[in-house]
Amino acid sequence: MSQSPLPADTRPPAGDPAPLLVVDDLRTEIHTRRGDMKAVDGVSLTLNAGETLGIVGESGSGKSVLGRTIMGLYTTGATMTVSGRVLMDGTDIHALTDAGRRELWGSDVGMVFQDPMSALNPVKKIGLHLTESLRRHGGLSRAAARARAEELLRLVGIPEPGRRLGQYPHELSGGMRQRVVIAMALANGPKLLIADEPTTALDVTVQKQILDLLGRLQAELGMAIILVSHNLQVVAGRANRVAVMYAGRIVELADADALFAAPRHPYTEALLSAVPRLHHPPHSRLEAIDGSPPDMVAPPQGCRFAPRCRYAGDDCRQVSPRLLSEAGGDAARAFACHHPVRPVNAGGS
Amino acid sequence: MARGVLKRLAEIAVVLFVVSVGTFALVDLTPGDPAITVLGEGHTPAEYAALREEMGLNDPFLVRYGSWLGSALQGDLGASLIPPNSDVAERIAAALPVSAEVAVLGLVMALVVSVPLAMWSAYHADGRVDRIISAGTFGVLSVPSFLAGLLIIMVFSNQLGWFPRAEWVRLGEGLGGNLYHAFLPALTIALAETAMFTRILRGDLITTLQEDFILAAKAKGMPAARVLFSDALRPSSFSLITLLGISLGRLIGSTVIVEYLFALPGMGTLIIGSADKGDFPMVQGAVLVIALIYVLANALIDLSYGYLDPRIRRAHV
Repeated sequence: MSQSPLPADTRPPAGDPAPLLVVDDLRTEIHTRRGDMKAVDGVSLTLNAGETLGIVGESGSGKSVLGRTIMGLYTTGATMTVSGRVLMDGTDIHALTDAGRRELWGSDVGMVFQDPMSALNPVKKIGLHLTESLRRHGGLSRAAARARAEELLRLVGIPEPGRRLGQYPHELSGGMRQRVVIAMALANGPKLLIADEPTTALDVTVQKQILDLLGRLQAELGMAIILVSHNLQVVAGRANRVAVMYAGRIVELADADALFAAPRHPYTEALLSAVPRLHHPPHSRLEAIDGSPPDMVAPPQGCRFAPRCRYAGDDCRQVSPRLLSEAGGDAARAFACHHPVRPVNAGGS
Repeated sequence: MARGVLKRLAEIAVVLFVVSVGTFALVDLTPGDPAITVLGEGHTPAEYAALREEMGLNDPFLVRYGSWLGSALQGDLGASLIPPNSDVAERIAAALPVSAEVAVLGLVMALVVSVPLAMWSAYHADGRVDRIISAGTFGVLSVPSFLAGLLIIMVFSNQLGWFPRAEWVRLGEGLGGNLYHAFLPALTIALAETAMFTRILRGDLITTLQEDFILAAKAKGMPAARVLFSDALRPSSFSLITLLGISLGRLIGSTVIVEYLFALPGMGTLIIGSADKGDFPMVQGAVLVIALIYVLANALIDLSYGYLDPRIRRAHV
């Protein structure tokens, strides 16, 4: 099979000439006691204004670290080396000073965290969580910030918003807390919302509410969303495009419909067949992916999925496949595989 | 809430009861005879026996304790056995403010220095400054207070001549002069406390800084100093506050060395001097008052947990 030499992710996105976000060869090495862990290892992607990009992968695939390094946001005390470029509206975020990045955080970029139990400070009232960001970026007066905070809580569907402002996080349910976290991220009308496993810590029924809320807010406010999840079903039907990550790299990037209809990368295929479907007969066995993700301090040579891949050949263990579009195929999709899965309904090579 | 307060008061009463029984029992347990203390050596056994009878020392323990407790509850802690047989309560009322002021001043100084130090250390954990601070606090902790006090006197009083030594100006004689004279003893106390506070708070801050809500605060674009003071400090200060309560109680009663170095008429000096001379009413009274302060300070600390963490507030009610 032949692939075009042009990596799919550097092609100008169709329609919009200037993407909101361009990530170019982003690498994050986390320094650990055992050695340098390549958590993100050469990721490139673009995101248009108002678009939703899903990033899926197993635990440890680097998807959460990717979400944070895009913004240059790290846990205090973590030592890491980041290289590559992240352009937001043409500004290289990693070239900014700390102060410059802080102007961006909480205003143009909002973050939603995985666990609403721990993302809210237990000793601060809901009101302060919201108003401090409003006052910092919007320069609002105390009263104006409070009024806006109440408005935000109403926007994310919290009943009795006025009363909630005076409550502490522990007085709210998990779903309500996640709504507060979302309200916090939305406070200053961000252009980009990075949602890192926003529903993983929640009940299934609440999960759907939160995802529907994100969808509704996106429609109303028009921001772009990066939706990071280990759960394909969370991303299905909500993301325009999906990037599948494995061992720090994107292995497949495609429009969501195309990806779910016909995965090309064996890892994507394996992920999809691990998802229970309604049309499966009851009590049928789910397919699991054998083995475990590689040690990212010393990743294997060649394709990182090769040790777990049923299609892998000798070439896979030698040469690392690049993320490329198929010549004559769908220009909007790319995959990094020497032996891609043949599309079911297309002829294939 | 009312139930919580009642429970707390009952606990305080029990602790004070135990302490008072303990200190009262000192008279029986320690060698030495109060009668000899009062009369001095060289009297006939009959004279001592008569005095013991007169002082009620031959009564059963419970009777003696009961009468002492009855007076103590009315604020009468008895009189010193040593001439001029001054009133115990009055002597304590004179010594306590001195110790309390130096202790509080020292603790405030320690807090003012240790909180920013711990923050810097924790925020740049394992960095060069952190290592210097860690080594520094360790060094300070290993210097005994008499040595630290002597060094401070040598530098600030003898060499630089900035501060007087071996004088005490009471608060009533002017705040400025009082603070001026309290500064060096407070500084001596503050040194070790600063080192301890810094180490404790640094450790707790490092843990707190790993929390998601710290990352969330940063993701809102809040400056580092604001994140540290507004988000990280309060959840990290439980150990510090606990230590603060213990330190306050300890410093008021047992800074004998510092009081001695600076010739302060404080509680430590009072207790040691009295114990040395076998002046039991004085020791009993002073220990009781210190226990009371200890217990009250720690009750206050317990209450402050509720302020620090609203989740505890509900559990206490």
